[in-house]
Amino acid sequence: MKIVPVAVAAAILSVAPSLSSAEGGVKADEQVVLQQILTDKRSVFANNMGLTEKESEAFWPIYDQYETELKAQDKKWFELLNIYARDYDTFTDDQAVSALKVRMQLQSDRLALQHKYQRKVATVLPPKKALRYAQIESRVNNIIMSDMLSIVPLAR
Amino acid sequence: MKKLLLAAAAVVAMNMSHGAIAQTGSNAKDDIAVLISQIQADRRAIVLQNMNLTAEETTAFVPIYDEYQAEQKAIAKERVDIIDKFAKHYNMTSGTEQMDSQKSAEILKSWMKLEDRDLALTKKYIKRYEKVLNSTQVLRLVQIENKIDALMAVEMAQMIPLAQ
Repeated sequence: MKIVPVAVAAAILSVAPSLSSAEGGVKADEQVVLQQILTDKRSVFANNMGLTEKESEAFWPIYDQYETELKAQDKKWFELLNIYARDYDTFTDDQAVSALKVRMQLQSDRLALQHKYQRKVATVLPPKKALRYAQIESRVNNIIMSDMLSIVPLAR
Repeated sequence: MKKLLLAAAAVVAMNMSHGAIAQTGSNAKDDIAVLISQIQADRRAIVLQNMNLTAEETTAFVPIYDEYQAEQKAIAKERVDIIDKFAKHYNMTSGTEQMDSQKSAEILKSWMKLEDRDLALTKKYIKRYEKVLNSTQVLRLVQIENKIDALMAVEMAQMIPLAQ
């Protein structure tokens, strides 16, 4: 049980140089990483949802719509990260006000989008599979967020 | 980054079916409660250690943060209650398919509500922090909190099996 807090502390303390030292910010890898995420995510769902043929027909179009909308949101995250990376050494308090506002809006939008599609999926799959979808989506999202946050240094 | 994502996908896939609840029954609920309680206790220390506040800022900030933690604790308790319901449901060997489905829908609904409340709580306290800290410090605090939350969520998810 002690592992997590220690890992958290280590992760927070060790991130300072990550983003600021990345030449050209995060934009260079953006397309590759996003494509990789989308490909990996799809296979994780395909391997773990246990859908029948009929369920698959109803599920995948919704999943693809969700990923399209999510991709648009991810783009906004990367834009924010790029500004942050570019100006990290000279980041002003005014920029922090704006970054915080955008960040909280993106968090709200992301949660709203997840919930919107969890509800949509629940209309075409049995409740147990809809719950399973929400669990997988949440797990994948948490791991991606955790990875993404680990490369972002703390504001100073 | 690519390696991390592939590793992440592998971790997710490997932990899909066998969570602590499936393996240890109701003990997993206690494990999760301990995990949450441990993180809540350590969270305060981690935040204070990483915020680099002056004595004056600390005096103004800590009472607000403690209030936040108290409210967050209530949400954490509800989270454990939902997981407990899930564990009972997951381990249930009798009952009709309809009951299972109804419970799954209820659990999903409760979980979504809780996520909304959690985010609303963060937003509410950001406004309060902004009265005693500058914007860069508040941004830093949100970053620290997000990192802790994300790591906690990853760890907690590994204890909960997927609905079957």
